[in-house]
Amino acid sequence: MRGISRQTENSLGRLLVVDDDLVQRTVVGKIGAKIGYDCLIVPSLELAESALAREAFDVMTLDLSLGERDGIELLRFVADRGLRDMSIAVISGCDGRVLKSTRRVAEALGLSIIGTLSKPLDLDELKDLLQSPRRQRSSTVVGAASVDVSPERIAAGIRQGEFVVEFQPKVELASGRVVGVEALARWRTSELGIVSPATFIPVAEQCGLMPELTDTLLTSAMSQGRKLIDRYSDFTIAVNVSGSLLSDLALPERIEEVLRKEQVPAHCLIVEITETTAMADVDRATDVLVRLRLKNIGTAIDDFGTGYSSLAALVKLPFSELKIDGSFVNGCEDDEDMMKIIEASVGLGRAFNMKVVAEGVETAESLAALRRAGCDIGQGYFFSPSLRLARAESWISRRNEFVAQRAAWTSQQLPTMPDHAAFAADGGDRQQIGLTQVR
Amino acid sequence: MKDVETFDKDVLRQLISELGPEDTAEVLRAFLDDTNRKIAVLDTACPDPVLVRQEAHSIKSSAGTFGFLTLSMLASEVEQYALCMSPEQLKKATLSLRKIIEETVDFARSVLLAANMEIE
Repeated sequence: MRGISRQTENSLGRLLVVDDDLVQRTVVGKIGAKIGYDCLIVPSLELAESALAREAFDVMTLDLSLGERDGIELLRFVADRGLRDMSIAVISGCDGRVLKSTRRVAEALGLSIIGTLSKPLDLDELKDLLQSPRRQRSSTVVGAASVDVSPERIAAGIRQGEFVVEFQPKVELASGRVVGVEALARWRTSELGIVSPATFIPVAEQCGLMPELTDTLLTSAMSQGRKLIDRYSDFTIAVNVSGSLLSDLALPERIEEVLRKEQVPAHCLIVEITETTAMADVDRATDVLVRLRLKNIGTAIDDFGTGYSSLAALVKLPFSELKIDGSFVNGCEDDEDMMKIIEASVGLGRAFNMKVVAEGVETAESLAALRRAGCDIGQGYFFSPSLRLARAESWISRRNEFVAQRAAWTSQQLPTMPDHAAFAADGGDRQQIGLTQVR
Repeated sequence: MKDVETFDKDVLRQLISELGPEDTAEVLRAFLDDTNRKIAVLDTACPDPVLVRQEAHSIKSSAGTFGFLTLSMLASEVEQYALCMSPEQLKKATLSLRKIIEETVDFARSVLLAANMEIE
């Protein structure tokens, strides 16, 4: 057990750091102290319980894996003692689904979860989260759908360059290679922290700000992503475009103009159509999509399977890619009905000559099932969350390097490998593995 | 391999700018001690796959915090494969890990020297 005193005049209160990873707990404690907390750092559940029984804390960061014990036990302890005012930030190296479920458990216990962080820790996110109790715990990274944002604030954010993109890798399941990324919108504000797209997209849709926002994000995705395109052949960058924008017949030309300015070849862009239900006029949408395809730009139907018009849209509109919604992918391996939907989607994709992408891949088990079903590409926390450009570049080059040159210890046959083992993550191309040594 | 980043230097730079060089050195020292201890435990004639998996998991996460990409990803691969590797393969994997850790120590030392800090 170790204390670190705050390093600023103004105290934000007391912070309890519970983490069995020496490095991580030290980093969290030190960052906490820099921000203005008085910190107590403990490495185990037992010490955390005794600290909580003895003293009051304003905030607690909790790593879910605590050696033999797990963080859920501690959450129950906190609930039993009625410490519902303490803000809790949950950290885990497990996949996003574990974090989400933990959040639900904690909320069911009536605890104040201010956010969840995955490992490796992003220091900016950690700082944002630790500062958020002061901002009335309302607006941090994950699950904050309740922040009020005005159209004026969004418009100002667009002008001030607060909207940025992060890149989530897309992995080809047959080879394990990263073949593209999806650019995801992020809004970083000084007063609200990071605002979730679930909050600002509906407002932007309602007040007609989507064209402007889409242009901003497209430009940002292209200018940043060009580095990846230059480096890997046939690499694609996907950008989300709302179905509501497909009534604008000038959209293909506007997109082409951005590509020209940013010097990105048309075939490297995939326009992902979200909210196909918002397409007011299917004829106009068809016009727009056909011209995008003629310009060699890829088109994807996003969130396939949700919304009643998906199937109609799929049949009528010229998509080159079908993205199965994550809600059918999570836990698909244990759910026959979901598997049927995935298999049917793959069949539809084949029939209409589309690549099939599974979104929200979070576990090795789901991934193995998706490969068996014949999905072409996977995307999700199992591989990587969305990353800022520099980290995305590093991640992709590492990943592709590992795929190209397997380390010596995987080069030999692994006959005992169970079917669901993580090999699936790497595309199972064992026979191609060379004896190259890892640097 | 030439173009591949072994270290995401921005992560370490950010850590130094957030924590200051002294605190970063302290955390790095702790990491290196801890990692060396783990490797010593694994470095036996017949490593226990469960233990290898557990330690690789922990190395993966700490290395990620510092932006040690190669180490983190190698540890991640070891974590994924450990339970289905033969003792010989486990030994090789441990050896690979140790080699990368040595490179990482050299790099960490050079960064800290640049920031006027000694690592040991």
